[in-house]
Amino acid sequence: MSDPTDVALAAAGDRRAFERLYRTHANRVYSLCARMSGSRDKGEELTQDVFVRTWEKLPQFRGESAFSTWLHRLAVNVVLNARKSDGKRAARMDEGATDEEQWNEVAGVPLHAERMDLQQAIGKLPPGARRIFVLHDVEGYKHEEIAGIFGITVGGSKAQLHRARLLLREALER
Amino acid sequence: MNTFNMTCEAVEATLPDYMDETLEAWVSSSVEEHLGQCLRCAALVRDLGNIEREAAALPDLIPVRDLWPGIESRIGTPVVAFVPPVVSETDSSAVVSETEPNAVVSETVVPVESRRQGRRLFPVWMGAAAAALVVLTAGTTYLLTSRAVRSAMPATSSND
Repeated sequence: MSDPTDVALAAAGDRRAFERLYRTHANRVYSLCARMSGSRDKGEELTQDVFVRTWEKLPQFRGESAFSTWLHRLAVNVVLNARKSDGKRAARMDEGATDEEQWNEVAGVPLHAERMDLQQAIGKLPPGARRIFVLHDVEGYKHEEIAGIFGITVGGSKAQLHRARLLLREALER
Repeated sequence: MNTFNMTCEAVEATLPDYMDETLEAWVSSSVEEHLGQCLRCAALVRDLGNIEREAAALPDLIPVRDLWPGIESRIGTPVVAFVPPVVSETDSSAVVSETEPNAVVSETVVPVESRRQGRRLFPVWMGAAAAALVVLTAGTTYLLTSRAVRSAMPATSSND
């Protein structure tokens, strides 16, 4: 069944239709949550939060954009709000030295050595640089969009991205 | 196109815009001219470009466990209506789930007439208690005042 049909059914309270939407989009949402938070465990928790929030907000979805776009933006907001509300706990997770271990324990990720290296290095980036790198280079957001999301200037977004790439280059020893 | 000689530091400073392709054409040409002569800067630009391309090609991650049961249990938690629904004279009071309008979440049978009597009796009882309190206070005040006046009068007359 197509997204629009399932979206309409789910908005009317059909949980089976909502489960189909979850199955279709779960991996993409999870990837965003895990990469932005720098933790697989946190990514799972945030993914659940995103879909619960989606269920609550679905009746307000007017179809002005693709459901996947709307869902993706909602996921970004949930991740950023969680960062704010988690406060010190989130800061500890972001700065912690366990990120690499968490990424090393990845199961179900294709074992392309080069990509695994980059994945691990992303997990070790400082939180601010990591979030902007993930949104721009992995998810394809524009600097203008990122600046709007974080309340920073376009120049600030570019500078953080450049810093992230330089740190990744250093981590990958290229 | 006119170009100018750039130092490695100047090139590095322009790299965010250069890689974002937002530099003016003549500045971009100057950067490329420098990259053609400087192996170090050329390697830097090549590596950063590779990182950008590899990041865009990263595959989706897959959760190690199925997250749906946790989501389903959270969205399945019934939401009890804050305002009780209007019930008919003979009906029971029923609270309806917002997520599933047809599902009755709780059902507590309270006779409508007894609820109405309860609401009517409350002010009558309170009124009687208030009246009794007023009578008691007034009576006590009268007795105490009259005794005080009586005990004071002989003392006044003896002084005269």
